[in-house]
Amino acid sequence: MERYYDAQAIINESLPFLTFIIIFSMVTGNFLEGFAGNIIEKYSIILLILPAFINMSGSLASVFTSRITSSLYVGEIDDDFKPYKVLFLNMISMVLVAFTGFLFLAFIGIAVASIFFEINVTFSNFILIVAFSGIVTTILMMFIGLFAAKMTYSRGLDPDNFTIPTVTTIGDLIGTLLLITLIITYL
Amino acid sequence: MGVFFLSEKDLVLTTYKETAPIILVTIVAEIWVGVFLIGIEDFYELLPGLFIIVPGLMEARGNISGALGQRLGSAIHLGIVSWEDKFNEDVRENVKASVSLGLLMSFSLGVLAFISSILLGFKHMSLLEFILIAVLTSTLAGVSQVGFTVFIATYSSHLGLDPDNVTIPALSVVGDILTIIYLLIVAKFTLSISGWLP
Repeated sequence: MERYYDAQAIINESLPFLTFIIIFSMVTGNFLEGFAGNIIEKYSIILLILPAFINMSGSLASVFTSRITSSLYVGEIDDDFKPYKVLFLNMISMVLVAFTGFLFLAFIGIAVASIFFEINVTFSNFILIVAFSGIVTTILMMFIGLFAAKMTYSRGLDPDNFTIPTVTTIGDLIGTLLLITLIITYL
Repeated sequence: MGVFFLSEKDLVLTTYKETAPIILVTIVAEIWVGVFLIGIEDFYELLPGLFIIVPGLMEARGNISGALGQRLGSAIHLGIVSWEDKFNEDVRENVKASVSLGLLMSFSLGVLAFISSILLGFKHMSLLEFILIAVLTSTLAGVSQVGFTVFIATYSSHLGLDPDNVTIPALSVVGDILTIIYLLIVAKFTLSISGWLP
C-alpha cells in the first residue's frame, strides 16, 4: 500500500516554522505581560478568564482551518477556496459556536470570580466586551488561518503543519490586545 | 463519511452541534487550569525561571499535537486512516514525527528560556535544570497526548462525528491538564535531585 506520510518530511517541514513561532511567542508574551500586567492586577477576573479566552479563539480558528484543509484535500473546494459558499457556511458555524462559547465564558467567569474575590466590573459591560472581542478575534483568526493555508498549499507544503501554530500564536496576541484595550476603554 | 457534501443547513447545524458542547467543556476546564496556575505560584519561587517555560511548553505541545490532529483529520477524510486501521504505517509516521518534534522543540525551549532569563536579568535555575524540566515534561505529556490524539480522531469518526470538529478542542483541554500534572511531577523531581546536579 502506498504511504502518504513520512516522519522525516513532516519534521523537516515543521521544525523551522515551530522554532520561529516559539521565539515569536516568547517575545510577544513578554510584550503582553508588560502591556496587560497592570490591568490584570486591577481586574483579577481577567486573569481567570484569559487562558480560556485565548484557548477558545485558538480552538475555534483551528477547527475552522482543520475543516477547510480537509475540504481542500477531498476536493470540496479548490485551491482558491472556491466555491466561497463552503467557506462562508463554515465561518457562520464557527461564529455561532463563538457566540455561545464567549457568552458562556463571561457568565461562568463572573460566577467563579464571585467565589474567589470581590468583583469590580459592571456585568453587562463585561459580558458585551468578552463576547464582542472573542467573536472578532475568532473571525480575524479564521482569515489569518485561510491566508496561512493558501500560502503553504500553493507552495506545495502541507497546510496542516502550519495553520494551527499560526492562528494560535497570532490569536494570543490579537485576542489579548483587543480584550485588554476594550476593558481599559469601556470597563 | 457522511460529513462532507451536507446541505447548507445541515453543515451549519451539524458543525454547531458537534463543536459547541466540547467547547463549553473546555471553557470550564480552562478556568480551573487558570485557578490552578495561580495556586502553584510557590513553585515559581523554588525553581526561578519556571514561569518562562510554562506558556512555551503548553504552546509548543498544543501546536505539535494540534497539527497531528489536523493531519489525521485530513487523512481520515481521505480514507487513509480509520478506527479499524489506526495503527497503520501512515499513523506511525505521523506519531514518530510528533514525538520527535516534541523532543527537539522542548530542548530548544529549555535553551531559549535559559538565554532569555539571562538577557532579561531574571533570577534563574541552571541550563541543565531548564532542559531537564522542558524535555521530561514535554516527553511525558507528548507521548500521552499523541496516543490521545490518535484515539480521539479515529474514534470520533467511528462514532460518525467529524474528527475536525472535536479533536482539537478535546486535545487542547486534555493537553493543558496533562502538561500541568507532568510539570508538577517533573518540577518536584528536579527539586529533589537539584543538589546532585552540576
